[in-house]
Amino acid sequence: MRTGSDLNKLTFVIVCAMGLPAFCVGHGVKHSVFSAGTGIEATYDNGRPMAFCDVVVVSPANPDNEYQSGITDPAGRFAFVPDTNGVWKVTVDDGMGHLVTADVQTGPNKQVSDGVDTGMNRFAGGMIGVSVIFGLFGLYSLVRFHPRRTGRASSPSEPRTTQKSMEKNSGGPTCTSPKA
Amino acid sequence: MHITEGVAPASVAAAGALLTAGGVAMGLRAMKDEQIPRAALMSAAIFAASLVIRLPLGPSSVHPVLNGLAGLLLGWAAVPAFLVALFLEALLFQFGGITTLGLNTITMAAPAVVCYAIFNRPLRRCRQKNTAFLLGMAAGVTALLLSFALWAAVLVLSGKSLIVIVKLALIPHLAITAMEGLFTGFVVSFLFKVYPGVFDLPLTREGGVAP
Repeated sequence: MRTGSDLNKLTFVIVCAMGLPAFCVGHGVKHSVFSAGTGIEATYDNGRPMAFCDVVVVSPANPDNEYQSGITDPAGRFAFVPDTNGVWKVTVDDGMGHLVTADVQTGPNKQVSDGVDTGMNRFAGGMIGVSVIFGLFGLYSLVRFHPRRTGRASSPSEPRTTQKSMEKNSGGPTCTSPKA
Repeated sequence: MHITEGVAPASVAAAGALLTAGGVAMGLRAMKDEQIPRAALMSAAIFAASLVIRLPLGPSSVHPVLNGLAGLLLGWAAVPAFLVALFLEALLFQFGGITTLGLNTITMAAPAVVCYAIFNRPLRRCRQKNTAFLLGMAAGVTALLLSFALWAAVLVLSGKSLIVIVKLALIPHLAITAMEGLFTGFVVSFLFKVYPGVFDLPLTREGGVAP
């Protein structure tokens, strides 16, 4: 049989249990909408977006650890909210050998540095490249055929091979033209 | 198929650079004087092909590599030819990168040398144009497949997922492999007809033609 003292204890416990949810409001969530933030857009050299690629953001305050990570959207874009001023490093990696690292400058007015197009005009670059290739191999030929390297020193005492001497040695002209 | 800056760890990039240095030394040693203009021409063709012909396949795009043809025409000299072309691509267009230049060179030039070792002798012995076409096509396909395998191996060594690479990049590369195989076959059969001696490559600068 329960006494009045037991009932009082039971009532106290029930009242305490009813008040417990007041300490558990941490499980509740709420949201707010804001429009601040910084973003980058990553594309391949042919203009196609780097869609669904891994992104790592590194803060200027803690360059050794990543600040945030995620993936780009279908248009190759990724946005984050910087919490300090400085140069943020945003790396986009498609996992197939293509990687780009953007330096995003944030200041007091939250300005972002413009994207830099490092590629050259295709036609101009192509012409320069082909010219340089032939030039390099030509230079290599020059080094390889240098008299000091080949031992074919062209001293004044050495007889020079001329067209006439070649004809004399071969017994006739080296190039014959068909008779009319 | 280029590996850009920062993808590969320093150890992998350094290994690629060392292998490329060895390959370039071998290539310059094997290159005969008459081969220098040919190497220049092939290097320019590799450079131009990667700029002009870019097919929008896969996440990015694919382009001909011409390493099968380079291997048949240059042998070991394909390594310096690729080095020069890839260096200029990295410098002018940011394809690949300077720190990964060795890796990119070895990825594309090593299969060229392998194709030279496999297909050059049968090509010099063959007497029919159709056989030359088939050998050329086989060289083009083999070289590009080997390049893909090496490229995937480098990425896996760099911590990338093999499944993702195969899933996203295999189909586009198979398409360009088929096209390059046909192109190499046509070029080889044409050269076989008009200038069969073009495939007589020396093993070394002083030495004779490979047996």
